[in-house]
Amino acid sequence: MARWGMVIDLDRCTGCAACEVACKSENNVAAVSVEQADMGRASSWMKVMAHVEGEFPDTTMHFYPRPCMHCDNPPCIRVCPVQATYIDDEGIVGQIYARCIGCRYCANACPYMVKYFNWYGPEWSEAERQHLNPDVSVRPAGVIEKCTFCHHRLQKAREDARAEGRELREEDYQPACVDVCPTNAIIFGDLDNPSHAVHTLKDDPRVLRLMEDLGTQPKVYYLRPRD
Amino acid sequence: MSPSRREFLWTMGAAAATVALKGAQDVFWESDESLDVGWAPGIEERRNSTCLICPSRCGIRGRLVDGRLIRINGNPLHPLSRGGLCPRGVAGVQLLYHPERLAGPLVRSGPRGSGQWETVTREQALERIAEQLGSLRAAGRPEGLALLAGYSAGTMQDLWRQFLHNFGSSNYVADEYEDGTEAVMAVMHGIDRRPSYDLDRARLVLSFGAPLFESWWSPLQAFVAFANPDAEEESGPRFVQIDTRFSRTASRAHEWVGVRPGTHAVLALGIAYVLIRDELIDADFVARHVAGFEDFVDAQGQPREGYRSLVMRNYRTEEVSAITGVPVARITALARAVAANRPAVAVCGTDVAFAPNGLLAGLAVHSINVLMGSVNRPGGVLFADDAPVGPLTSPVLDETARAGVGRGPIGTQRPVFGSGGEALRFAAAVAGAEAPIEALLLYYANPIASSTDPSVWHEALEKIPFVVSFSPFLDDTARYADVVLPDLLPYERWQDAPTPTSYPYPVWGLARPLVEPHEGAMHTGDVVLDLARRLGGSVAASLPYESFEGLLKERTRGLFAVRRGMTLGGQFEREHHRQMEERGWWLPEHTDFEAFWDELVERGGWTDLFYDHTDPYRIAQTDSGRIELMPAKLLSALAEEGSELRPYLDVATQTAADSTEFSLRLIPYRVSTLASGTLSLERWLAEQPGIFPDVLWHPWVEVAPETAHALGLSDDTLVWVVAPRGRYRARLKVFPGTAPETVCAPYGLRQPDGEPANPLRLLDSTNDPLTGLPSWSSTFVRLEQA
Amino acid sequence: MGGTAADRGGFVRVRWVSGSFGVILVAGIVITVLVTARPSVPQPVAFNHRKHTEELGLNCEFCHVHVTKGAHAGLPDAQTCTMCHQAAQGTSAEATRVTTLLAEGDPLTFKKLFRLEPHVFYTHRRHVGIAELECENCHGAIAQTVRPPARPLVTIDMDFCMDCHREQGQTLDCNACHR
Repeated sequence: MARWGMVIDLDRCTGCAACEVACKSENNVAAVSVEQADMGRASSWMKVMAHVEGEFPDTTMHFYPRPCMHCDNPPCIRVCPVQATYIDDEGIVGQIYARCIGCRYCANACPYMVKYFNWYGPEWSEAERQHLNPDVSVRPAGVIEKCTFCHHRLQKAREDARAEGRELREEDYQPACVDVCPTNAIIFGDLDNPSHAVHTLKDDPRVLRLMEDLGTQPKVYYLRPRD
Repeated sequence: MSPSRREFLWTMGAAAATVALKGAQDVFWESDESLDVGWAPGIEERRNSTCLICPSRCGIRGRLVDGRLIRINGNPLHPLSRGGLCPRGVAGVQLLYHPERLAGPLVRSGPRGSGQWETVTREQALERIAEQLGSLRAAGRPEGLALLAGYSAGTMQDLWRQFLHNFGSSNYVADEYEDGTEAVMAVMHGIDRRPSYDLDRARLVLSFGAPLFESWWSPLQAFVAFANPDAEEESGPRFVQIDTRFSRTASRAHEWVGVRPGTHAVLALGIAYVLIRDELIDADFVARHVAGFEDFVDAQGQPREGYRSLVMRNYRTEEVSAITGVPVARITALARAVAANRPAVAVCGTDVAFAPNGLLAGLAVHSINVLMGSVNRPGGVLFADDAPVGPLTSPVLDETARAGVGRGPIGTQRPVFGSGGEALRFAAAVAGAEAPIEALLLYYANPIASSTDPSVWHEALEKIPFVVSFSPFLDDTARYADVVLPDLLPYERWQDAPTPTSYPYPVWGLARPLVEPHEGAMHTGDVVLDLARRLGGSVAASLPYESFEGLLKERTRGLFAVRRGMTLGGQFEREHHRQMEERGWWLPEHTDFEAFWDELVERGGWTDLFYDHTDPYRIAQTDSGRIELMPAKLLSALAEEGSELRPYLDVATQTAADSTEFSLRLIPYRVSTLASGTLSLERWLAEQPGIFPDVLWHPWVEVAPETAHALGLSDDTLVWVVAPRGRYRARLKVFPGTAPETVCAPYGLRQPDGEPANPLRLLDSTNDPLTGLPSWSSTFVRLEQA
Repeated sequence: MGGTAADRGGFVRVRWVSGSFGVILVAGIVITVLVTARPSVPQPVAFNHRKHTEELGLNCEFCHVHVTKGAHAGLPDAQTCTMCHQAAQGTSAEATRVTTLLAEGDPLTFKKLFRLEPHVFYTHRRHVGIAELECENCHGAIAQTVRPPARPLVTIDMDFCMDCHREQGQTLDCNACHR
């Protein structure tokens, strides 16, 4: 059984945010109105965060693309009263929208703040509906949504592999953010498969996981910048 | 009062019915019928094309489901972008399916700018335009027609130029992104072309204020070199960013050197000083290819100091350090790094060129490349070829056209070098009634929003009786047009898309329709061909093409016949072709033109990745045949202007605040995700404007913590940015990377209501008289709480 | 109101209560049945599946062209019918009507009979194209029908899917169908 994980090289990330926009496009993440954005209600399953240190002229800045960490011990699933959020056999933390009752316990339990609540239904105009991805649902008001590691791509990739009568290859399943990154800063694969790049990278001396001390066991690893 | 049993039961019954109803509807999931894909089979297809959003022209691969464009990804076959893409390119689906897209052609029915329009057919719009243009020619005033064109390199530009020429007008007015490097090359090398930078093979990239990772000619070119995916074991080049502002490029470069505003070129000459002093320059290259390094005698027989004397006498590290604020040890270390990491290349950016003495500053920066021999060598400054597409049919001018062309372009005197500020000079000439323009065509130009002086444009538009816009959206300038004939969007049309000159190899990318074209819109290329047909005579005879697609295909016969290059291919194919061509081999892949064209369309373009480093014409085409550090053309131009400025002496812009009223220096910069006029329409991009995760949608300005403290302003305060020329509203962001006493102001943003928030409108009107480019870092402002 | 109700006779009161209760119950059932049952699906012509499949030997993919490749199987349209019915076929009145309709340029828009909730992500490619399931597994004896059924022959609900997935040892992961 695969255990999907991600490694993000902070030395390579230029903070261009292609991952962020690709994610929104792939997963039908609707933009919210200006007023809602002002209230901090914009959703961005993948969000490029800037980390600034020091004063001018000794400033340094790094960018942390922040998807869902897909924790092996996810705090969000323990608080869900209806089992709408759960971790599957391959380590992907899913959110079943049709089951979600919108209590937002999980959003509050998540230390990484990567669960987003739909305060209102998505505003897609007639024209914009043309570009919605038919592989991903359009979430209604009142449910939590989150990064799925583009799980629908895994299913497609498995189907293709099966149709062609071969094993799933590393490059077959890559989330949208990984696909688009112009500097290849995001690497994705099966953490338990020795032939996948992430398998070796996760043991790199530069590795860092966010808030590891909470015991969440995140499967998104960062390679901290070299000095 | 307690309810009766009857009331109770009725209530219960109603509740049961409600539950039954709700149960059927699924309480938690409001299914939206309009989002149901119904019987759409979900058949997928992927098609290669080229992105036309910015000058970079990266390769894209569209994912189509049942004919709808769902996703835009990178095309791995494209040699520049190699499968990567920037957020602007990805968000293109929101441009294509934008709710504010015009449904069809419009003709003004009320007073100008009143917003009263009548919807017409394409035929009616074409008829109307042809009628107006025809009457100009009939009256013998073809020069009364002008075109204002945004960035449109390739066949669209060639077509427009030929159309205007045949028509009898020389008024092709460019309103494009510039960085001043064209003039530097023209002056020093005698080559009228922007330089290419071989970033892939450089070991050190020294960027003087070039926004490489943000809004440069091609951020993807810089990204690919930075990540260097084609050479896993070799490390990519080391990026050093010399910038006043702690930009995103500065933050992600391997090293950031913060300099005082306007002193980039002084630092460059400080580096040159150490290189010469420590004998680290490429003396052989300088001896063979460079003039003006040593003292010389000028055309008038006067002895003059050469580059070496000027630098050695004026740019000792202590002095440079005092001016730039960069410590002596750092300057020395930079010079040593340049010498130790060869090939090193210096890239000159807008912050250098957009200054009152920008050309001289640009010369100083580029002189590092000359000293290190980083010209026409791998990893240095190169001069790329254009893709060898076939020419358009040769123009035939009738009597009217010849007379019109003979009367020349309108406008005040052009600058000596380059063509900076052309659009604004044109507008000023029209507004000042120096030149009667009777018809203006707007092609990807929106000067009311983008110009540093929209009031001049308002006046100019008032004076022009007939204005046509080809914008797919009713943008700020299209609102003042008489006819709007919307162009197709980039994912619906045929267009060639050559990569910008910053990339050292010709890539002739091809954009082709990914989806069915919008019914109300029309390819502007086809509009031009149609207008030519309607005008008839020699105008029609010179453009005998059925359609723009046909014209493109005809031109690719040039590529088919040239016996070099390849249709786009993967990494192995690229390397294979390059190595073959280096050894003088080229094997034809196609014997049949149709098969060649089909493959070109399928793969997304053509490229030739071989560069001839032995060609001496790619070093210098000056009269002396050498690179001129003390260019004769420049010296005589300065003398003619009566200018006091001297090369390598007056390279800094050290204006200081001249009043206490306006004490903060304004530093405008481009936001990478919004670096083009229409993009602020795209909601995903408005939600990702910059490095501050909480400033969605709103324009902002950045100040240092101590500056904010001194002003008594806190983070997120709404402020007015006030300059002598005007003011605009923005949100204050306290950012530790901002230099004290400066206000960094992104441009390209709009207020949520659509009103542009443009810091360029606050700029003082100084410019470089040699290039015509405006000065960007000499304006001072103050901040007031709004 | 409590005081005034006590003045009425006991018999009357009982009849009133039981009467109203009965009305409510019936109304509730009727409403429930009306709402939960799908409305019948009208089709442009009375298509005879058995005639085409069993007697003429056409396979399902002949009309449902995307059944092995698409998410949805696809429905025939006028173009598909024209292939044979441009000229008169057979003896039935309905076949004659089809030829007439085609001649009149009727688009022959067939309606979807089997519907899934929009949060269920099902593809025919996965089930028919790759797993090679038979159509009747989910659609029952639709191929044997002689006139368009008003309602789906099989109730496809989550239990229906899950039973098969369990039997076949297929994924029971929520994400596999809901996303």
